[in-house]
Amino acid sequence: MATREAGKKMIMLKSPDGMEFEVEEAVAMESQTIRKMIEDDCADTAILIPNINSKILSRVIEYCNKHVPTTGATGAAASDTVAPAALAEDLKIWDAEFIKVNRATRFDLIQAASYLNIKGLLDLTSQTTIDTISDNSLEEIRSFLSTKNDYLPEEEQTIRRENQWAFQ
Amino acid sequence: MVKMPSTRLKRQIGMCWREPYMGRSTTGGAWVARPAQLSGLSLSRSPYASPPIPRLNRSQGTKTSGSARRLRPAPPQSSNPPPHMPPPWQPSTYAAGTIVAAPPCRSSSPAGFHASPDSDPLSFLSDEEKTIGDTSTAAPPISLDDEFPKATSMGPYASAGWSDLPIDLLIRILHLLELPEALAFHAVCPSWRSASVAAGGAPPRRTPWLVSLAEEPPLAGDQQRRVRRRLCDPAATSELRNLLDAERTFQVSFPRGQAVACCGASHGWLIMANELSDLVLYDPFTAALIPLPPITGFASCIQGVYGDEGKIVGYRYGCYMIERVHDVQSLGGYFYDKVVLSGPPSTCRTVALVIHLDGKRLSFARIGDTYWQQVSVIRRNGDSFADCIYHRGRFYAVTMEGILKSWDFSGSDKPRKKTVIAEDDNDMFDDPVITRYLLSTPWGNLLQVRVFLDTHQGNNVRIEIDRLDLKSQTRVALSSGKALRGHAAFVGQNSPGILSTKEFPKLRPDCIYFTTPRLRERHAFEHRHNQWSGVKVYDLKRQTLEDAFPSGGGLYGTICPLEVWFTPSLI
Repeated sequence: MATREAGKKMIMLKSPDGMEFEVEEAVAMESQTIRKMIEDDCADTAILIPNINSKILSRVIEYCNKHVPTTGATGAAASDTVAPAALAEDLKIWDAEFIKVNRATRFDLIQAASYLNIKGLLDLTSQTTIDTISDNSLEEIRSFLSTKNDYLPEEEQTIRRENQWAFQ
Repeated sequence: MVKMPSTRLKRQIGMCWREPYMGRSTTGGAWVARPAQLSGLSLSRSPYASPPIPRLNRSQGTKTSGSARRLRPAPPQSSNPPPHMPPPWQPSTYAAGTIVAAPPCRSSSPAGFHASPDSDPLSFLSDEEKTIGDTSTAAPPISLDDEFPKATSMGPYASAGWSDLPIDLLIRILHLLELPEALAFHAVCPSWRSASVAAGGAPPRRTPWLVSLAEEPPLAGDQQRRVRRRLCDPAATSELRNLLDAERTFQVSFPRGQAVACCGASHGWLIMANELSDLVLYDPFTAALIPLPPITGFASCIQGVYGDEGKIVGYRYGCYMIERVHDVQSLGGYFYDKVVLSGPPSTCRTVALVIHLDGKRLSFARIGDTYWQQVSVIRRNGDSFADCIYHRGRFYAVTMEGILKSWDFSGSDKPRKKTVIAEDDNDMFDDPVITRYLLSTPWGNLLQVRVFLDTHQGNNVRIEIDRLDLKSQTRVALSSGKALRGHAAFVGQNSPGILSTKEFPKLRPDCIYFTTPRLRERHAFEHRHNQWSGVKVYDLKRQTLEDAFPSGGGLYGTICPLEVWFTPSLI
């Protein structure tokens, strides 16, 4: 249910495991999916976020809280005094720390970011995945990402032939 | 151990670091090689004696992934705790009147979100592991293995995961990768492959890629603005686009300072002038780098100018070593006209032949040599070498007037020279020939492509093709529409490629794909801006010249080519 608290409009987000998160509307609207719902007036009661458990949802809210534009939200008023460049740098460091999570959590985060359509978080999680791909051999990628190597032996042969340089 | 190409580069140079301004966002960064760390390519000029850098073996090098990770930013002093700490896991209970958030409509992701709501995806983790993600406690620097526990230790959840990412997410990731990784992406697993196919797939190899040095990566904090690089800037990144998939571009990083100008592309190697104006061979797929003899190895026409500390500060250039000193970086952009290899540079018998000094001279060196040897000089005014090619065991060079000579390097050290066609073919009543190219066809012929400036037809370009008969030493005029026998040809700074349009139906038959030509002829130079810079396709049947890329492609050179056709040699 949308409530007003200290002049800020609040939105209730519910995870499927029954947790409720009361967040500022501006924070919730970092998610384009939720923004659309709010703008379409579908959000007078609590919004259930299916498929995102409370652990991941709390992380996502944490991210949105940090990244909500300073102009729109009073929550980040403390940052207003900081120069924009320093703020951006601070955010980068914060992001780098934020994404230091185990593989499973990162996997959930990238899906949550995609589902809730949060561009910044999607960029961050995609980039981390890219770093993994760029820095490692094919075998290591398969191992780290636990991707299923479902190629039949002969398919694998073809793939290897087609991508010789990648296996050197 | 199998290795990705980028890793190979890192191992080859022994050390790597990230530069945040290299065009990737926060946590990314491109891999660059510091030239000073490439053996034989140190910034100060040393007597050139180092052997070519061998292509890396699988076993060489040390593991570098750990060191890369250490360069991440330090943990922040404080971070916002989550607004609500999650409670112990409970079965899902949907309160009455709760609205379920619907995913936005995305055509490419019918399946949407894959994780099942009623199974705890983290249940296999111990409590200790569950707190890894909590940033409210400063985490110690973590290694790659910590971040990505091995599959064997991941329990049942490990069998599903990154393979099952929605296809739109995979495509998103794919689009952020550099070329070698983007092409390797589909080798990871079938679902990644299908994403790669959905995104347009990796264009088939053996088709020419256009390598364009025209753009510099955006500066840090300035991701939107693309900066046009100056001619003499050492390009760090290039754009590759495949003719069969023209709208997609791939970024490829060069070792810093190693790609200032395109001088050729031969047998799967790019031939670049580096920031010392020396020639290097570079394979963008494997990141292997092989130096050719330095520019000071052209002893008859280049003289190094050295500073107090013995460092090279400039070059004197020309036949008479006039007083003017050219700067170290930019000379390579105009000193070399074209470089051709006789074969892949894997043996020391491989010969590099270069047209240089305004097309007046022809010199050669073998891989591993320390100097260039001059084989021919044109002293006549008005004539110069237009193109050279390796064809059936010999190098051929044609001059602007149409004189054809050949050199055979197969015997002793000294090449055997032969004048194949001694008479020029210029007709003073015809339109001026503005440039010529040689083509070696898969059916064994040597063709000459003459490009005329049609002064009666609005200065359009007109093309005629002759077969150069090596036995009778004559030119045989061919009907333009039939000369290529339905093939497509790729010419420019590269060793030309001819491809069957039956095999690659997207290529246009009986067409020549040109990159920006290097023109010297006066008429051509005056009129070239009308139509002939950038990547063009000439239809021999219809006699029309059009843009090869519907969008016009990227930024191209106008006077000196900044782009080259490049065909990977890997089979």
